[in-house]
Amino acid sequence: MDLSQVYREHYRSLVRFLYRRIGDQARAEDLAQEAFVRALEHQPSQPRAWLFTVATNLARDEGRRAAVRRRHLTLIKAEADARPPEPPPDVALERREQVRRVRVALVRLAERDREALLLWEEGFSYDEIAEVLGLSRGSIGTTLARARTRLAAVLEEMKSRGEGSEEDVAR
Amino acid sequence: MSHVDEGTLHAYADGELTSRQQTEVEAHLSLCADCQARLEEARAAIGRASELLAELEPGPMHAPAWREMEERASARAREAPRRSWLKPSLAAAAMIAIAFGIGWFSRASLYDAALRPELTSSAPAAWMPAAGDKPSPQSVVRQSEARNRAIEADVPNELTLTEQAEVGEAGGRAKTEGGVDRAAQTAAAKSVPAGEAAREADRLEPPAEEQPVPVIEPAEPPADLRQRELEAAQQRRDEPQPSPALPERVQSELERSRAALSAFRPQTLTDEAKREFAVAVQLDEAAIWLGARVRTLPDLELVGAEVVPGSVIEEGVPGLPAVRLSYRDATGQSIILDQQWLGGQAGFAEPEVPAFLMKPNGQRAYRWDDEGGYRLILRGTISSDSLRALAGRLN
Repeated sequence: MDLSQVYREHYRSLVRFLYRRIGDQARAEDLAQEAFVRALEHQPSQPRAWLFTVATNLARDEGRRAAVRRRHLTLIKAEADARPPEPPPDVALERREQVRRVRVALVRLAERDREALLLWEEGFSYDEIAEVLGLSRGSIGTTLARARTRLAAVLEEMKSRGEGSEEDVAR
Repeated sequence: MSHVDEGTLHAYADGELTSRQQTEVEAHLSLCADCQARLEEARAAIGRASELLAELEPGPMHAPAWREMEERASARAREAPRRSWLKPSLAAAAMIAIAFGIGWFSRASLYDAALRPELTSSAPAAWMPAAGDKPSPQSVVRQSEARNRAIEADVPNELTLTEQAEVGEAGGRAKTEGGVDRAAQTAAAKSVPAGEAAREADRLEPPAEEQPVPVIEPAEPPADLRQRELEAAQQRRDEPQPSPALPERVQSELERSRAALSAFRPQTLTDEAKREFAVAVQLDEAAIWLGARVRTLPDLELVGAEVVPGSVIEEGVPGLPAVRLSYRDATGQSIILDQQWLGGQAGFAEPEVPAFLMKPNGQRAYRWDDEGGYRLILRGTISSDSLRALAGRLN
């Protein structure tokens, strides 16, 4: 498959996956571009799965850098500020809080669970998710079930406790 | 009545069950109100997760022109050209000099060369000379030439390794999809005549699992590594040579391992399958096999030592014996150190650029060739920085 076509079809999906994974859109775009440059070097036979595999590894490396975690505070605030300010102020505030809570809840998932969920949301099948994450196909259903259940449970818990602050994101 | 587990319910709701599984689940659901209720909860959780994640939508994206991606790839290729680490003519001369001086070395080279009997002039049955036998100059030359041919045929550069892994990977997925021309894949990977590739493909065992695609990137060695390598190389040159005889126990196990390995192409083996060709040894026995002092990691718990053919070591050099040391760190993480002795002669081979290897399952490897003549590979599910730090502490 022509990589330029793969780029046109999947670049946005890759950036979205990375953005949800690491929380920094600019960095997500950098990593997505890095993955495509590497694909040009390696010419994988299954480029979509290969790209997301590389992206998963890059995101894991990214997540282990303390500097990125410290930037999360600033980025989430900046991200909320950068959104088009269409709704009235009280609605915008609620939306920012919801974004922040979802980000925190996602971080509280186990790494594999989080990645499986994000890949599913990008349209990957169970077979493809298993391939990208190096898991058995039979475990994907359980992994996604755990991720979805926990995501909702953590959010409910945060709402009831009034959590989702910047300090929570920093953890 | 046993109920449907959560994972299966989610897979059913996601449409990811086989027809047979789907029929079984539906048959149960028709009889079980509890599972019906749980299925509705699963569907709600699926929808809720999608809604929540939709909140995390990135803003307007900057997508560079594809030409910019191509220019970056070209620039990177120009900055770090691939080099064949082994110059055959230089290797042949060095092999003869080394094998003459160290009798056991030819024994180890015959082990790996015997896996490709069509490349050697020795009969496979004569691959393991008795302890104390000294090889004649003529046999040393034949063995060296045979090894050289084996290395020329098998030594992978970075791209070939990736291509071969992809061929293996594609073969595995194609098998499940029902269509694969394994002979053509083998021929493509090795550039051998299709007929020979077909015969070789017939002997292949299908991979037990798909081979992950490694990602290789250049890496900077630790700052003090070079000085330590030079000091270590000097120390090794001053040390006495190890005894030439391998214990009989190790010899017989290697014989069994060699016979089993000859039926496989190492690139198609899973990690689990590759373990079949490892022989557990003591450290001093490992040094005999390696032909040099065994490099070790300080401050880590040594769990075991094995000797293996170089052809089953990922990122290793086919045709050379390898030693694998298994460690456990303070947190219980497994660390593997693979090493091969390339000869230790100055100018013997151009060292490979140090590189990190990343697998989709999160395992990382750091591979480098030191100036003392070792090919070293550190592996573990720890960060690249930690691997590099460990490399700097090698004894």
